[in-house]
Amino acid sequence: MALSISVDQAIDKFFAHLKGTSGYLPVKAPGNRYELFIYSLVHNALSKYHTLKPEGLSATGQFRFKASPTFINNSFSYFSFNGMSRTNYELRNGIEVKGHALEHEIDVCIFNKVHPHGEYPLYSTLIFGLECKFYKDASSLKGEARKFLGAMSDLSADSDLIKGPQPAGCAHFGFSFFRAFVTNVSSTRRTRLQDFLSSYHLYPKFGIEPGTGHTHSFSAAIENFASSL
Amino acid sequence: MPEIIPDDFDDVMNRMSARHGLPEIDQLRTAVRTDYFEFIRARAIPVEELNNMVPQKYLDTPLAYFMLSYFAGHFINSVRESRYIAEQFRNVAGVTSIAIIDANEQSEQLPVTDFDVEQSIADERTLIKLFGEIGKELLGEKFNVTDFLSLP
Repeated sequence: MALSISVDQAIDKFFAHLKGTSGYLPVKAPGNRYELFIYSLVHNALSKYHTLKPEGLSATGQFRFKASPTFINNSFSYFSFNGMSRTNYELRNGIEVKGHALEHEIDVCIFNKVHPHGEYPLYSTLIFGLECKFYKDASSLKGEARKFLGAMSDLSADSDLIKGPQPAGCAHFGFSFFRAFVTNVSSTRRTRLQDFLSSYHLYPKFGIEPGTGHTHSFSAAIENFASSL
Repeated sequence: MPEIIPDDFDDVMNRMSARHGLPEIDQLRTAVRTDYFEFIRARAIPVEELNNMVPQKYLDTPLAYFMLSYFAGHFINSVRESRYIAEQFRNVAGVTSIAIIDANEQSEQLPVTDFDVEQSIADERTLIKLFGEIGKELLGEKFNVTDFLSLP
């Protein structure tokens, strides 16, 4: 059936209103906005227990949020804070963390060390790492989950020199940081994929969108983590 | 209500893209098509998990279901995400706006101090109402906007 004029008009009215919606940010890559949303969620949870200081703001007070993976890059903004034991922490995003064999991008990350500009932080200084996936389509998630397992394996707490030349990490060696695979894909979808991640202690967090019950529980888990710092 | 067909869906999205110039319309079209055709393939060779992609109520209108799902996920949620981000950063001393900066140093700007929260909430309400009209046009009486968006 061809779409009726009334369908066309209804969709047209929706987009016309969307364009004028206050604060609507049309982006080329919605994944970047989603990562910023998750970053804000983490910032909010940490703020319940700590005073976070913004670093690297522009002269006009602009928070420069990085939308591409790099080493520690202080030309972008981030937050610093002190824990109860006076440890210096940094909440950053899009950082390539050095694993046992390779560097891996962590979308939202907290380090328990102040790293100099230009450094690739070592996995042992990572205490919190989230992979954020705003779906383009649910089918691409399987590949993303497998990539996540590969990266996490290389960031495991321990490693073994099996054949060389690099030591090999493995999810079975365990992890020394809070981690999760976060997506807005509904928790009712891709249940076997969620089971796959759970089996490796990689904590799938599906349905993380503004205002959902899943988001509230996830925030509570991060707050719990924050209270231990 | 009869199901829409992929070509008609493409046509309407092409028109909307040309008319409104929002980059996310093209992304939405690709995502909806991918999920739709994956679902159609899964339906031919039963794969339990993929068949769960579409709730029972919408099994005879999967394309319309995916279309509406992505409208909600991409557009209505993007308004909520932007508002949440702005509200959080308002609590951060010294931050006036946020720039999302890509590898080519191109940036997209989100206001913080100038963000009108009340207006954003009102705009979202209107957007949901208009979304409800699209749903009714596509799916008739079986579409309920409150259920679809899990609104309280």
